Amino acid sequence: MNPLLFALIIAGSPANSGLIEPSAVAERTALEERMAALQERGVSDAGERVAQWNNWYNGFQNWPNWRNW
Amino acid sequence: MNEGAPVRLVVVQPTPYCSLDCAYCYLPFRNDRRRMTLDTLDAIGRNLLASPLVASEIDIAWHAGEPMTVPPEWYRDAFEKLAANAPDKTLRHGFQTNGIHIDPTWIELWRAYNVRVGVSIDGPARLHDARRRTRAGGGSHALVMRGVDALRDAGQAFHVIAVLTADALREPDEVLDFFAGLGAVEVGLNVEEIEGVHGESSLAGDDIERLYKRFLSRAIERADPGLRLREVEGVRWLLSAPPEVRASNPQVSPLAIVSVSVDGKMSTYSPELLGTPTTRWDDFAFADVHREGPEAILENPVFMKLRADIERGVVACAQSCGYFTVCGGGAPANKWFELGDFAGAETLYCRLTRKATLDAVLEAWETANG
Repeated sequence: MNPLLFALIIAGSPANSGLIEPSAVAERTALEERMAALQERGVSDAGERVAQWNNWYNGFQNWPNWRNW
Repeated sequence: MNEGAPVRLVVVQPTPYCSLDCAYCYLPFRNDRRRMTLDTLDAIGRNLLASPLVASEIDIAWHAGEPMTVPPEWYRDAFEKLAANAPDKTLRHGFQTNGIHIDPTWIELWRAYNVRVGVSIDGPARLHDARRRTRAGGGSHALVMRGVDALRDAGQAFHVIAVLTADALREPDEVLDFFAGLGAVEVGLNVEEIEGVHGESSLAGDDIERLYKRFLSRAIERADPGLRLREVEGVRWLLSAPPEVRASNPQVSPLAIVSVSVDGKMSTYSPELLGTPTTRWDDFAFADVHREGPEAILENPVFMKLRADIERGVVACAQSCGYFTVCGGGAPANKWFELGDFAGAETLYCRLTRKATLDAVLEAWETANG
């Protein structure tokens, strides 16, 4: 994505006020909080496995976008 | 004009032809036996890979047809030619294959060039043969397993892509039993997509999201020591990734992925788009590698219209979806094939592969961790 567009979307800058619905922000926050809570509980504390995964997929694309083309 | 992202993945179509005739295939020209010429390969190295818009380390995926219907000698020439024309770049080759042509000669080639190999298998014969059929109409499972045996005998690492249909979702243990003993580095679960010439999916019915989540939950519950699922490991990776990486999405980033067709036409965004017949988007062919580099894509007026639509679609996702920060705006190909509109947002594809996947994996881990 265009980095500027992404920054505007994430930041919700004055120029883009209203770009994000408040409910969408809240939902995102809830998802992020769930992920952070699991990370704190050590679910992702598997450095070697994550490193192996990065090595296999080269760490370039985030997971949902990797389809092994 | 923004210069676009550095090219990190190049999808090359050595031939449109495929030796199988899978029921869910999206490719419109899989009877076309043309083979990419060495002149076109030469141009890919010279005009694309050597371009300053291309990253110093590049993944090259040989795909969009069955790559192994072109002989291994051709690839030796191709790998050498590409490397010679882009001497400052590190090239990492990858095959995604139907697996029925694997033999020691191929394995020797892959080893010599450190090629990453993925085999497409949908599970046990009953499920695999229902969709992945030979051109004579028979099942292909036995042929693929012969190839997998050759890989295992040679100690050649491989991953697997499995396409999940509604039938597979109804029998998670049957599928998981098969993959747990296969010996793949990792198994990726694709879904039967509405895409290209495949205009419908068994997953479009009611109750599919529940079945899909149940399938993943069962996989986590079983915790088979011999089975790493891409979907589960991907969520684990997301938990530890920085926010800007979580949201990166090469499918909506101009030039992050460049696809090259058998005759040298170049496209970007989702690789499935190139070669899709459409007058509105010029078949998604925005430049010709024989005479220009990837910057020509950005200057194409049809591409500019497409880019505006795709960016509107990203904004639509950002405005409407609680998963945006771990997705970045969906898959343009699925928006086009499902919604007929790049500016749209939610698709069946993203409901399953992103939302339901995250929900299932996070819920399973939350339950297991109190």
